[in-house]
Amino acid sequence: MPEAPNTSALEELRSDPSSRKRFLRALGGGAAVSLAGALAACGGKKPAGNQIGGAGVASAQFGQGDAGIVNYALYLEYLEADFYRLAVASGNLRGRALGLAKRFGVEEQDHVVTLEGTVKALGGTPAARPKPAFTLSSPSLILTTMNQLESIGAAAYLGQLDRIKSKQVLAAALSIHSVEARHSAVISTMLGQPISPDGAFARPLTSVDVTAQIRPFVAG
Amino acid sequence: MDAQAETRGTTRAAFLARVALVTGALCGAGAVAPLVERTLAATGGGDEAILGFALTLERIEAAFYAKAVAVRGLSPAVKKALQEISAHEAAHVKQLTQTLQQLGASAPPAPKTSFPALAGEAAVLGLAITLEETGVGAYNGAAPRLQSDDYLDAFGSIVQVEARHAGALRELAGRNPAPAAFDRAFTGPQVLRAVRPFVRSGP
Repeated sequence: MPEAPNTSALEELRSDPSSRKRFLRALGGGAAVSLAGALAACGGKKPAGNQIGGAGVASAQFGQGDAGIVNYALYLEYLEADFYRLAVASGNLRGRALGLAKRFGVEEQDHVVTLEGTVKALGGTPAARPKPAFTLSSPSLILTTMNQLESIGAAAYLGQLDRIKSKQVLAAALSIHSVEARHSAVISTMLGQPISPDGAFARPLTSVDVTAQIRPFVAG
Repeated sequence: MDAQAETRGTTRAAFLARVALVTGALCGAGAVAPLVERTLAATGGGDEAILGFALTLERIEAAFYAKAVAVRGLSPAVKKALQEISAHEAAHVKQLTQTLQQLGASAPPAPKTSFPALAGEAAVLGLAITLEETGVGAYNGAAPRLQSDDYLDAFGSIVQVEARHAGALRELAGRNPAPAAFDRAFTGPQVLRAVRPFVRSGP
């Protein structure tokens, strides 16, 4: 698909002329704004519960409904963005690994900005940024953590897709989910692992499992 | 859709007209010429049509990789990747076929595929990337239109794997594995344009 016109959900939302979106456009950058269409939720799916990812853990932290799910995603993106920033700053990466860390870091930061804007647009308050606790003392430690974080990130998005009520929030989550998957595949193969560790069908993670798996990377 | 699609029985255009009908279901009415719509509307719509469309894409991908893995002169890393991906696409075809069967829905006709000469690794990777990017965009575009959460879960699971393929193949080709922070969602007509060169005819 070389140069298809960009008609992603995000782009469609960006060009939407509604006044609320114009207002949001004034608030932040392009990508953040584009998710403002999340406000125009169309069609409910699962009832809005106070649980994220199948159990009650962390729901109070992130909020309820789509705003809570987006906040949960934001929390993970904060962690990823901080990881790449610190990994690049550590000076322990070279060559292709350094190039990928820089590029992926920019993309995670784009996700952060967009999700912050979306949480606000949905009437929520962005999650508190976790204090990162990464061990970055060697290239192999960095790459191993990178592999874990991206794999967890992709599985975390996958675990929320059927819980999202707004079709537009869903479209946005999908557009980020597949980017996390790209990151994950590249680092996985760099470490000699399969393109898809789960095989032909990727497996989701609940927020409970995600919370447990990222605990080593969060201070306190 | 061009006029040819409305007049010939088993041409590529006619086959693609069937796909177009489904993509019409994906992206709303109006994308398909009225005569085509009248002729083929009996195929049904909704989730079954979306699943059928996904199956068509997966069949095209699977047919490609069956050829690609046999190309001579591939580096070990590329060959290994193509073999892994080929197995995934075959599994997607099998799963989608079974799902349609369980629904009592008829699978769409299998496309007769036609790929350009796969002369060398660069050509193989280039075409593979085109197909995977089409898959990512198609699933991301179609998933929000599904009614069933079960199928949404399945599409999410599959699109993650398609995106993994796209990222890994791009890296192997020396391209940026994730060219944008947000992947695009393709409309039906966009998917149709992307796969059209690889479909020779319907059955």
